[in-house]
Amino acid sequence: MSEIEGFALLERAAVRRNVTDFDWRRFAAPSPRHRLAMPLSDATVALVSTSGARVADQPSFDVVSDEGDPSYRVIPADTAIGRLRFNHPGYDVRNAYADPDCVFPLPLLHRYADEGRIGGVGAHAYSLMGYITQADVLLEDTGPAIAAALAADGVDLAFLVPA
Amino acid sequence: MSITQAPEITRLSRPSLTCVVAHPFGLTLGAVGDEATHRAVLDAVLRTATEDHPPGSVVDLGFHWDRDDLRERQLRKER
Repeated sequence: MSEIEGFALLERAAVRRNVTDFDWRRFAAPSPRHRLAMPLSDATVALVSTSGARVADQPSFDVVSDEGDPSYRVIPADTAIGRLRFNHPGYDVRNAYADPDCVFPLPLLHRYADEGRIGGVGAHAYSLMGYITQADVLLEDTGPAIAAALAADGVDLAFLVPA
Repeated sequence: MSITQAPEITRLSRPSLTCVVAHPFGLTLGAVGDEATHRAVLDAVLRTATEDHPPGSVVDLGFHWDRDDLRERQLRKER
């Protein structure tokens, strides 16, 4: 078992105040790497975020549960900035409202597409709220569902941005 | 590919390719209105996606936070 130290140790201790058996999930082998096989100017890039972003008419993330919230929201890429909402207990969401690019850079990706730096923006962004203690749900349900949706969207590169 | 602000946790889960950006939580790409840094981070991440790195690589992009002590306080779990 890997030793942990520093922030990982402090964060685990903090979570254990609410979820006594919490521990970081460890993997012996890395996930496989698939290098982008095309120029960036041809690639469709999608945003996956743990900022707790959602559209105004979608349900809020649960920011009070001791176990966190492993659900996700599908955000149409053409959502107006003014319709974005942010729910997260671990950072100051006022910054996200002031400038979503700080933590949810969907507007910036659109500018990159307009400038020809990337081929396009995935039809949807996928958003989670980063406080999730239920790793099994994340690994068995939420993660595979998002991966399948990204594939269905024809995404070439998924860009995961934590909060 | 992903960004991480906490590489010691990332190294436990071993994602395929991760870029370390040592910014505060909630300001992953940079401060409010700092588009130059947002773009620099995105440029560096996209460039890294096209490079050869073995699976599980954690690449430090060299971004640090010197505006205030927010990141240090967050890493100490202080508010």
